[in-house]
Amino acid sequence: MTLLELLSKAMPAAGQLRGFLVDLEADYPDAKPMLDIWIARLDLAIDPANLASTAQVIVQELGQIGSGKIHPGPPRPSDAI
Amino acid sequence: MKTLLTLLLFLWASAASAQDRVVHVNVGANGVWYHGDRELPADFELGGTASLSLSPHISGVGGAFYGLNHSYVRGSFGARFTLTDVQDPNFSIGAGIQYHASSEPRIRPEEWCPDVAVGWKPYPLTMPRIVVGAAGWYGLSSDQAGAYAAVRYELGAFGKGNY
Repeated sequence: MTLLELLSKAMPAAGQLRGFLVDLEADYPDAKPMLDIWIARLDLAIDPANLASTAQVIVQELGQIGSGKIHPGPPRPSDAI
Repeated sequence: MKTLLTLLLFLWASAASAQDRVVHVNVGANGVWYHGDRELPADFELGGTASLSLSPHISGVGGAFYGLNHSYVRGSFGARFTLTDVQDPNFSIGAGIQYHASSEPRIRPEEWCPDVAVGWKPYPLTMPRIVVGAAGWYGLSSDQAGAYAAVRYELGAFGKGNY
């Protein structure tokens, strides 16, 4: 299984998250501007073309980790969630 | 208790230079809901998460939470891949897979779950430790899907990479 195929397996979870955000918009209209941005960026992130290019970068980074190099990069807020 | 306080002080101090740190530790709360055939109950959870940043796009992640209404403990661990611009420290989306363990498998199934999470720092200048977000997942065995809205407070970040 390639990394892209592995990431594709997470897409139903992305659908679950998207539906949850849409429900939150309905329940909390004040949060709609923020949630609209989240949904738009989620759609962009899981676009197949973007997913394929991201997978290529991740494969390169996996190679670096395999050679013993730990390069953490900037903090990612989603890792805290 | 003294050991715990010392640990918290250490984490607090080390968070001053959180950029490019390997390990990040957070406390927080979730409002969690499930969707599926079994109508698993919603709950409000308190607990914490930790992440191990191995590269700009790859992290090991995990967490443990206590469900206040149904008195359960659940934990999870796995991998997450960042799908958005990693140079944006205030917003990101990650996808991956985690194993969910639970003290009450009847209402919180134990299984591998692909997940997607979004995280956002609403006040990066005045409250840089606060992260809000949401996550969605589905269980590979139970076919139950879930989601939660979350708030986190970063206790600390420590450890340097091996470049």
